[in-house]
Amino acid sequence: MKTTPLSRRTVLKGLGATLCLPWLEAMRPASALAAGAAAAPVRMAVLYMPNGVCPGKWNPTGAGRDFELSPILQPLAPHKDEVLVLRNLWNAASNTGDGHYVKTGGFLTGTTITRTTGSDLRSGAVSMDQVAAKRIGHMTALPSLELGIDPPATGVDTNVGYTQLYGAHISWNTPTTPLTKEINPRAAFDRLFRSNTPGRAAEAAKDRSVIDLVLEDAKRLQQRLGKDDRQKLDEYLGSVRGVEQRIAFDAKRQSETVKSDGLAEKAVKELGARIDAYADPARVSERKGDHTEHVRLMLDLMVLGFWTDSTRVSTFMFGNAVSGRNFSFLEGVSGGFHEISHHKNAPEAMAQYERINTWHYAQFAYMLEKMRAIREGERTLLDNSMLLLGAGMHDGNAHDPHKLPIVLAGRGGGTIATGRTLAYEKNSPLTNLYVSMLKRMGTPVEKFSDSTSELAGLDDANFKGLENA
Amino acid sequence: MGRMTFRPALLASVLALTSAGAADFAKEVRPVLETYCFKCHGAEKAKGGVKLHEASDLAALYRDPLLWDKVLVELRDEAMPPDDKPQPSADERKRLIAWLDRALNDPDPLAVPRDPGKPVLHRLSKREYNNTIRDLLGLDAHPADEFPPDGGGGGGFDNNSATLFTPPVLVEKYLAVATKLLAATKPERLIVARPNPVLTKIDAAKNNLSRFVARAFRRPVEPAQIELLLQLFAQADARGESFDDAVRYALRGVLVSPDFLFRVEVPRGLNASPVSDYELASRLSYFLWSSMPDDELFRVTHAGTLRQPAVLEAQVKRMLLDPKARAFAETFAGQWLRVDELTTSAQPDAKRFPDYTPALRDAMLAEPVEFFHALVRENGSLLRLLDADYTYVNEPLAKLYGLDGVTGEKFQRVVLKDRNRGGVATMGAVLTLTSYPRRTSPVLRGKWILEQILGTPPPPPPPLVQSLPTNDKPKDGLTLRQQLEKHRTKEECAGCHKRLDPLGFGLENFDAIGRWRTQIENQPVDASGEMVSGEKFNGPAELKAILLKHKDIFARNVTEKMYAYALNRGLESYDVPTVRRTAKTLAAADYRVDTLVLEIVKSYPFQNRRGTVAVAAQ
Repeated sequence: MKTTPLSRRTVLKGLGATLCLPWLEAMRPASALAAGAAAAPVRMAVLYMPNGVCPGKWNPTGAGRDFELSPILQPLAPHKDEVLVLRNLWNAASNTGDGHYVKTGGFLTGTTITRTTGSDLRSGAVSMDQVAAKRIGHMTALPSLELGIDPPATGVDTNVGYTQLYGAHISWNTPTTPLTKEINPRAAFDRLFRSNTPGRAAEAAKDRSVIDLVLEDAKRLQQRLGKDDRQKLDEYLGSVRGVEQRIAFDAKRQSETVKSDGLAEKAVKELGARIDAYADPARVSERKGDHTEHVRLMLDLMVLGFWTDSTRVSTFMFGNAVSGRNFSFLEGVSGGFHEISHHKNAPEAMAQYERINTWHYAQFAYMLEKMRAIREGERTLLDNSMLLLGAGMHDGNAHDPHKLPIVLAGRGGGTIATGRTLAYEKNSPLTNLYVSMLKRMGTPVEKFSDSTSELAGLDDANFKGLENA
Repeated sequence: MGRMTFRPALLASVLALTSAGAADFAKEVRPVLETYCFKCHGAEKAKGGVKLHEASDLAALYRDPLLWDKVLVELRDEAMPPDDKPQPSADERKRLIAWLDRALNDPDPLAVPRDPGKPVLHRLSKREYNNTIRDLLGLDAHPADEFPPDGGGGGGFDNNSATLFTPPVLVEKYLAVATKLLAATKPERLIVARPNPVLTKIDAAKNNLSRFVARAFRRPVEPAQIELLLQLFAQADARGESFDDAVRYALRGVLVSPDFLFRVEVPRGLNASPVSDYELASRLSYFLWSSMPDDELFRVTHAGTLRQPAVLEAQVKRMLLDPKARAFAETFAGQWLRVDELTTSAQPDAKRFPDYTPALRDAMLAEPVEFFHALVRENGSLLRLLDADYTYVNEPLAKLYGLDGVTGEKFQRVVLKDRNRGGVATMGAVLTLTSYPRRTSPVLRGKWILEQILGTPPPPPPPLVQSLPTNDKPKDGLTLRQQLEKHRTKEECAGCHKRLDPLGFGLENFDAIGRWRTQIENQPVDASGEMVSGEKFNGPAELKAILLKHKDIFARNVTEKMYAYALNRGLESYDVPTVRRTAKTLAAADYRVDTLVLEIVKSYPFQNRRGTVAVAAQ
């Protein structure tokens, strides 16, 4: 990498010791403190896995509280009491188009994406994470945090006539604008915690004047442009306003007299150091061996983002749709993920598929472990969160959109009775789960795409779902 | 075809031709289609998603020329109708081919709608931002390397306007880097005037701003915009900042302004019309340099002579020779050939291919760029991309290719005595990109040639396809090749794989990282194949000779790709006549790079822009 005048390290070096603000101290408005009634906010994350899961190895046995984890879900054993394994959900709108893109781009919208090679990109709806972010995002430094591992490819999948962009995004800011995910742990770290650097406040105030002026100037431009152009300018203006809000937010937060949380500070510093080691230019060339570490850094960023209440909404993509990542670093696996997912019932390929799937749940368990260890009053950060881990298909060999593998971890602030597997009627809308999650985020919707109701029984510990499913 | 002029006599004859064409369609074309095609591609069935029965006249052809192109190819290759279905007579087939070929490849420009395409405000891509900063501020800082990655689409390039989004995280970055970039810029580049006894502070600031902003916005700037920026200067001045710092503060506003971050083009009136000279200059510079115009281009633009054919041509030739044209090679060639995906997609197994080091990978990435850039500089024939007796290597790559006498990291041109190597399909990057971690994939290599070289991608495989092992060890006594051949005996697979596999077989002498080999798992390499057309070959050299015979398909594909790149969008049906005419001109000019670039620059969609009323032909 070329030397830039923008030293990333200075950001870390300058990380203030007193300005790392976990939710309790930082975020509770003074009035709420006085009332002593503030509850920790509920956080929500969606983690997406490409290429589906190995058939016959994902479904748990049993129903309700009485269930056994499947082989792929084994890494969740220490967290069995903190997860819900949800079965028979699907996204009906994805039962068309192609094998992958339509099941990725529409994963959080519940819609059918428009087949296009690049013009008129359209998911058809705002994704459910953004529905929440738009309503509660003003309460945190970042309305939402989109993270991932793979860069979007520039190409068009000419086989199926979709731009590969669809396979690289699950978060949609508008029905026509996907939200770029950050794949560089260093950049994501700086974005989350950079406002803590000394001297940043003064610069931010100056930036704000610049932004005001740019907004004024852009209005003039808006009038000169045609309708088609204006869409892109509006997108720019929306983002500029978002930055303006963040600057205002940071300024307000810094002016509040707050007590810092030593543990969170320490965790931020440690993560910063790990990211430095990971991003060390001398090691970048061997990066490919570091896939697990890359994923874990991103998951840690989510955890810290939640812990410090820098954001309450986040999405993460383990890989882009059709990811061919070479998982040979796993014992007993040789080859690329997508290639292996087309196993054609060959036992050897299926065994490899299963190992790759299991690895994904092991990373999820790593995240749950971290969140469980963080206390928030009487509860843990995990108790106060909802983490959805899922894929847009079940068996990747058949691109099967039925029976999506969905796990929901965390108790949503005490509103979800975990420790169960729940099977629903065949082809129940996945969007029912989204309706339930949005309600718990304090951002309820009456209906989301094809939803028919809330997902039954999430808060009822005695609800078992269908037996013998 | 010559340049079109609108003389009434010509117009009349053209119209006559058009109506004759329409009559031909109803009388000669449709009945043949009806007899042999509609059963599978008609009202009742639409095999492969292809329906032809709705085409009732000539105009239908131009509504979906790409579909009819495929029809033409299928007919030519005698791939359709399938062998077990009734076949048209040789004469019927010939007439159909001739008619479609004329209608599609030598189209009457008046019979088809003219449309410069949907205008989309173009945000500078990461590469464009980096290069623009380099040329504007004189800083080789690559600030955009820290921006989130750009997606892509359209023609498969990351400069596709519609898919360049501006998320909040990007605006944060714009703000953050603006301050730092300006601080790092040499003062004399930003500040040409300072207050003195005869120049007030405000006037001095205005001088600096006016000069800088015109370059940053790539056009003359209205005084009102300068006045607005002066407000920032005044704020900083009031804070007590030095004159230089206050000017820099105002320039921060320039670097986050939409006029800088976007290539703003203003529509003029309701109908399509030529873009302004300054807008054309930017189209040119971002096409050939992925950057802003330089002083010379600004000079002729300001002089109002840019549109004079001789001036335009001279500028294009000058720009192609400028070192900045390397960006064209990197972006256009890198993404067209998809080799830039080598870093993200290809993961050769480290145990099996310990030679695949980062240094070798970087060399692989550089080879096609070096090759294409040289082709541009020399105004060479684009056919050399199919086959050439030279390439560019450095030491790690030379070692992989078994070439002696090349040392060091620096690339040099080498003569290839073994004609099996040469041309992009035999470059390490392509051969590695189209392999799996532990073995080659004749299918992926065939697909790459069909898509990237010939521009005729195969349809997707049906669900539940038979998968092949992850390495090339024989299975059930069959080599990988034999397993593929078995796969092809299945009817539902044969249609595509008899087109895909032979191309890939022809490259089987190259292993999964592009090294020459004569044996696979102790079996001799079988690199022979037969094309759908019946053409036979053995080994890469003979395969390339066959590809060269299809040079016009290749040339048309390069033309399409370059148009998509230059126009920052995917091609639409209304572009097809333009593309076809250019491809013809290109063939007549020995496939020279300059010709293609110039024809694109002179073309209707490159020179024009839609008005505010959508074109009726849409």
